[in-house]
Amino acid sequence: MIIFSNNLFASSIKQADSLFSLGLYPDACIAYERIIYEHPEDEFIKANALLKKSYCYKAERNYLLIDNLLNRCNINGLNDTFKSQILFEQAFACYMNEKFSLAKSRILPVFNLNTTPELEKASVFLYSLILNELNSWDESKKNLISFIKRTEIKDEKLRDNLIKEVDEMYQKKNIPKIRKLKFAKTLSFILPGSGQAYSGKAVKGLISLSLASLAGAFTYFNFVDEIYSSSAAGLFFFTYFYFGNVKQVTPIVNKRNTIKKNKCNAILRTQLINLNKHLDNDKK
Amino acid sequence: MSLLFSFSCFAQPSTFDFEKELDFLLYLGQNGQHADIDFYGDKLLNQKDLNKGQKDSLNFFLGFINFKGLNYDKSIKFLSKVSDESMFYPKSTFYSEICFIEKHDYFNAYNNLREVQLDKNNDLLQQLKSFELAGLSLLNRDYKSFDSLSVLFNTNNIILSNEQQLQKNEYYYKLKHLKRKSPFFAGSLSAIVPGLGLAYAGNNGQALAAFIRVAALGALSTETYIKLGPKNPQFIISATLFSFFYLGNIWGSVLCVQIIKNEKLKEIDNNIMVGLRIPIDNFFK
Repeated sequence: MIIFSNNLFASSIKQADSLFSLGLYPDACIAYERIIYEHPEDEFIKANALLKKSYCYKAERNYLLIDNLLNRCNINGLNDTFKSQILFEQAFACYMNEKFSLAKSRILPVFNLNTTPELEKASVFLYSLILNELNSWDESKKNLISFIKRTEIKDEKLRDNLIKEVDEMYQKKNIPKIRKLKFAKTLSFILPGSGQAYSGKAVKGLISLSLASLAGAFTYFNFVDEIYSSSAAGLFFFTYFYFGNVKQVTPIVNKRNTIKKNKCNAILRTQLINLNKHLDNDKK
Repeated sequence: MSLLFSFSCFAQPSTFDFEKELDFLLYLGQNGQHADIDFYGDKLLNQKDLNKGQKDSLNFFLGFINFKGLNYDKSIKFLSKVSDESMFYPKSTFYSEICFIEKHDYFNAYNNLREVQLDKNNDLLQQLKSFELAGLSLLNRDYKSFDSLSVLFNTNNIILSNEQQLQKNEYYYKLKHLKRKSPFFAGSLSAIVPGLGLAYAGNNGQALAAFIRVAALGALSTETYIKLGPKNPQFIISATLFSFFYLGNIWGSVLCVQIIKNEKLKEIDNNIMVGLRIPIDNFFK
């Protein structure tokens, strides 16, 4: 009975794989789902079919559905290689969907599993990409260097060169200085416009300082001249400009940090691809 | 091409078992695989082996799954294909009406339901139809039609009596007696006392805020006029600001009358819509 069921599964998965290789992804998705439907008790078959279905979504660049799809797998009863494949695909989909913290939580367990060298390498590189997006460049560098040190490389010179390459990639001058939002806000509280200037927007800072100063001066001189209603209106404008200046800091800091981070990570991505190629060449 | 076709047939079992296919679709629905349901449902509908009854069941099933997934356009597409010989026909009819209502297309909801021929011997179905048509007449603001349909209301029907009473005594009454407030009068009131027009329209919070704003700017202009004179730039700026806010308060009152009226109508419409859905859900439970 078991042999018959296994044969049935093997032929069904073969048929589904043929659909996949022909690029008939929606048909392949249905075929994989049918396999799960016909083997409801078997967690291995279910996980296998779901993993292959996730490849269909990946081929269609439909990363949104992959994490939820693979959450249907009960990975506890699976072997380490299989478990790590599923976790890797989930992490990759989360990375592509820009859910970096979730991607990190998905990829970390892979490093505690006995997996294939190829998947381990892919996981290390994916983890570095995720860490870059989470502004943890130091951690990303350590992750790469420790991988290069422990991995099998025929040419020892190449190992030293790769470590040097990583060191250069993550040099201080290449990593953007992330502006601290709390500090920028505190600066703007103390002196209107200084938080903007700290975030690289000196003109905006100067405008904020001028508006708040003008409103303050207007309030003061009207008060001295005993024109109290104008003084009250001036006070209203002063508080408006003062708190507006503090509020303005958040989007400025966030935008500045995002631009700098994206620029740096785009370069790092290219460099990581090159690093990966060097490792592949060594194996050949 | 023939190779492609033969491969695409792998997604279906070699011997076609309709019950099993429906069960498979249900399994896909339970696992939230809506894209697969759409794709495979369309494929199954194009099968040549399907008889009329099977097509009806499939259309109903796909319509209902899309209804649950809030895809009302798709749901209407499938539900409207269920033939009048099918046992699912009444349910499809009423749920496709709900879909039109959810899309705020009351006109088509009314016309489609009116055209439907339901079992004349089934008193409950006929009463449900009259009730739904009456509710749709209210949503279309066709009070004459509502009057003629509400005569048919049967208060002994447990499923409908509560909603019928609400429709007749509350929603219909509220719609007919909704005070038609004059935007001109609201504007005039705000010209005399800033904010009063907004209070007349029914927005007391905004009325108070408008009064304080205009009064503060008025006080500012008066003080600068007295202390600095009419040619002083400070007076000119504050007077301009005052005029701007004063005129804005009048214009705001004029608009507010219409906005508040629309909000009240929307609230009544929402209540009617919920009232139309409840008996259908109870009836076809």
